[in-house]
Amino acid sequence: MLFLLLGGSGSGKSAYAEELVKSLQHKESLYYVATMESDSAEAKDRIDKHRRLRDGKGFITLEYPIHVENAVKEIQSKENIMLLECVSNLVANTFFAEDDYWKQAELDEIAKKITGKIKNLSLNTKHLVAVSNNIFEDGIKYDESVIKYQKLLGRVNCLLAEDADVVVEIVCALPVVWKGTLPLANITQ
Amino acid sequence: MCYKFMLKGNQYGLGIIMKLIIGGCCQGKLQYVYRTSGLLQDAVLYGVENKYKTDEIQIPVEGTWIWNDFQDWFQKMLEERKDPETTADQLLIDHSNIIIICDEIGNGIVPLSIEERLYRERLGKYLCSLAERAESVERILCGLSQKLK
Repeated sequence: MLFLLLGGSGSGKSAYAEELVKSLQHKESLYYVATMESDSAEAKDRIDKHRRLRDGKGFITLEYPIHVENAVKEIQSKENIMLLECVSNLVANTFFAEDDYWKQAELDEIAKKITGKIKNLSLNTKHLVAVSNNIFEDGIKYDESVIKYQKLLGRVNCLLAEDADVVVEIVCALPVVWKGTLPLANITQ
Repeated sequence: MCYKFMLKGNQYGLGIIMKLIIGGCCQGKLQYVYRTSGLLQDAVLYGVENKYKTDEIQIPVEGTWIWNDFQDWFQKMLEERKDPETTADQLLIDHSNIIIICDEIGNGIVPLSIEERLYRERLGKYLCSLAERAESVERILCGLSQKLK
C-alpha cells in the first residue's frame, strides 16, 4: 500500500509516520529513505540525531537526496516497509540541482518523473509511507524559482495522492484522513 | 414554503447560490472544480486579468461561472484603495451562480508590512462571511476534497 502523509512544519508528521510504520510491521524489514542533503554541519548534526533515534527502532537508513530510485538496489526483498522522508526535500534537491534538464523541462514533466520514482519504490515494497510538506498556506508571494518549486511540489503531491491508498494530513500529531482508511486505529502518539 | 421563499429570494437577488473552494496554493483547486462541475475554461474569470478593471468585472458566461484566484483580485482591490467586500457582495447579489476559488493565505508568519497584514486579515474575515452564505464549502489538499459545509 502507498501512504501519503502531509503536514506543516512541527506538525508531528515524522513521529506519526514512524508509529504508522511500526504498526504496519509484522516481520518485514524497515527502511528509511532519507532525502536531506548533508551539506552543512547543522544538517549533519540533525541527520546524526535522527539516525540514532531510528536505529533504536530497527530502521535501516538509506540516503538518497535525489536518486531515490536507486534505493531499490539496496533492499533484500519486496517484503519490506519503507518510509520516505521527505518528498519536499526530494523535490527541492531535484529542482535546485545544477542540471539544465530540470530548468528547461516542463513542470508537469518533472512532476511526473519524480512521482514515477516514488511509485517505483512503492512497487518494490509491501508498504511505502511517503511524507510530504504543506508549504502552501502562508500566502506569501515568493520569487519566481520558489513559486516554481511550490507548483512542482503541489503537482507531485496531487499525483501521489491520486495513486495513494491512504492520504492523511497530520495536525498537532493527530491524523485527518483525506482518502482511504488507516489500517489501524490503535496508533498512539 | 421554503421553496417559495428561495424563489422570491432569487428574484430579488437575495438567495445566493454560491460554492466556496479554499485550500493552499498549487493544490489543484481549479482542476478539482473542472472535474466535479463539468464547467470548462470559458467559465473562468481569473483574479487579475488585464482585460478588465478590478471594479468593473465582466462575468465570463451566462449561468454558473468560476471566480478563480479570488485572493489576487482582493489584494489588487486593496492596493487600489477600493473596497473588495462591498464590490464582491454586490456581484454576488447580481450574479449568484458562482464557484469562488480562493487560496488560504493565513497560515504563515505575520507579515511586516501593514498592507500585507490588512490583506491577510480582511480576506480571512471575508472568507468567513462567504462561508456563512455559501451553499457548500470545500477545502482542497493535494487534489482531494474535505467538505466543511
